Amino acid sequence: MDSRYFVTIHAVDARALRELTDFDVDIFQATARAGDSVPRIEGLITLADVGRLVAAGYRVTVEATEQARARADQVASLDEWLPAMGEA
Amino acid sequence: MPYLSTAAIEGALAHLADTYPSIFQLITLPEPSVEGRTIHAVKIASGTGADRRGVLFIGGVHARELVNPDALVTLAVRMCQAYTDNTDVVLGGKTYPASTVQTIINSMDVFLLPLVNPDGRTYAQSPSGDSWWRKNRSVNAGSACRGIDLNRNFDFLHSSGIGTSANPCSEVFRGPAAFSEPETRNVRWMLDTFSNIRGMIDVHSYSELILHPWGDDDTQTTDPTQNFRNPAFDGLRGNPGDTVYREYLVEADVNRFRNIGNGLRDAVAAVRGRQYTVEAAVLLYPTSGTSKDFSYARHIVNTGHAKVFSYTLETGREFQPPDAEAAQIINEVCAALLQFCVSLLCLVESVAADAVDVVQLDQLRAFRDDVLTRSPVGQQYLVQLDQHTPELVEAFGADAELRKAFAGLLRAAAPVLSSDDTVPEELLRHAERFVATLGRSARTPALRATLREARSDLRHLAGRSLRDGLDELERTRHARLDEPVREPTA
Repeated sequence: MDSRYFVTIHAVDARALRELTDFDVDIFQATARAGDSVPRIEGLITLADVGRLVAAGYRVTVEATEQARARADQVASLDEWLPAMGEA
Repeated sequence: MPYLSTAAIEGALAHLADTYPSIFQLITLPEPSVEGRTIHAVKIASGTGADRRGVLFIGGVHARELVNPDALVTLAVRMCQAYTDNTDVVLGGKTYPASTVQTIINSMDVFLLPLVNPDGRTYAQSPSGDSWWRKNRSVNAGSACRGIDLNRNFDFLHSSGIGTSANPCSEVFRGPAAFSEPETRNVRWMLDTFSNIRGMIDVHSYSELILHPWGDDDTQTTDPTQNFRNPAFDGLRGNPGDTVYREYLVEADVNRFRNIGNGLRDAVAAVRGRQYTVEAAVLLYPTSGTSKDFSYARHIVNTGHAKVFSYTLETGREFQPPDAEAAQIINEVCAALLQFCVSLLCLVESVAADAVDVVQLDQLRAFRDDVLTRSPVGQQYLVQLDQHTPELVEAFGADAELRKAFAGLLRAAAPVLSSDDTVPEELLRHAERFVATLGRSARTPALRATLREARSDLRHLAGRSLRDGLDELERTRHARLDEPVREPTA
């Protein structure tokens, strides 16, 4: 699988931001903001996706690699968790 | 503390069922996950009764949003400990007294479904998996891409395609049909089986939002024909900002969604100052097939279903926050969900049910449904009651004498509520004394102001029946509004 990056995607207007759904990329819809400044949304995409979006007129800021924000491998067992919750 | 594994979540629920058997009950959901995992919900409650309200909290719908199932299990632990050990639930700067948690558990059924999508979480946490997996693990016929977005698979405008995709490789693939997935059918089963559920929160990440219906389009309160069931508008929905179609929502429910949402927001902010935003879910991107819209819409589709006030909570600022931040978010989630329980409590049933008999409860309900809801002043009082219920529950929970006085007033008032007789002067004086006493316990200026107004309003009932008194109050308020504004004199 290609490496992915956490990005902020900036659009020229709210309509262009909505049209991002046409690209079928992994955007986080709840992070969309349009009212206060340049319409923007966060997402997790490959460099190839970045290229496609830039070619379509979007500005893309890379925020972090996917590994930098991944903590799914930090797993607690029940034996560790129960004492931490005050449950012997 | 790192994130709980799927097995640890199951183990934690089993531990709580063993440790707190009198208040904690495991519910095995009827369908295993796509990969065959048994899924459990739980019910936290003490006592039974046909009139108990229920709330449902679900999490882990999207696999990569790891903190939320941990938050729901943590809430279960804290509620059990508070109930059993008589200890307050301290969440940063927000405290729920043990008495409040005990009131919740004694008078409500709290249902938790901490991990809707165990296959997805297991895959996200597996070294050979994908940390950022969102969907379930369905095998899609004719495609190499797996998974269906469970929060686009509920039966609310599912086939409309609004904010969803028919492409199995998309992160928002809605699936071949509404409820094609066992995981979403389990959520529906909870709502069908526990018909006393009156509120639901689906906990997601991220963006610090408290979202309420609708998600498919903007909301309006004036044209009931513009609704999700009307085929005349098929193909016209899903364009927020236009004037062609906006989803109808009863104004009273718009207000209630906002009021309850604001209470959740304030509870979250009290933990450490984070300001969540309360708004309708449509935002910039309309959606369909979500749990929140489905849960609320059920009572419109089938009037035999109860109305469920449903929200999506978008927690935190990333999917997998580091330990210290995750701990804070868990506190915020616990605060929001406890606040939600308190907001949906029936004050009478939770505080004074033991002291008021069934006939009197029926008289009180009839007065609420037949008289108050049909009067503008009465509606205003019901809204204020909603707003102040959390503070009142806390006040009554902490003061047995106040509780006794409340029950005494309800007993005395019940016969008058169901008649057109003149309100006895003695009852008015009784009510005034109670309101004055309650005012001394009020913590917030808002409650004190409401009680001052109530005390003044009581005088308008003198010599009248309650219905006539409410009419008189309405006239008085209109007259006040019609008075010319007096300019201040020098």
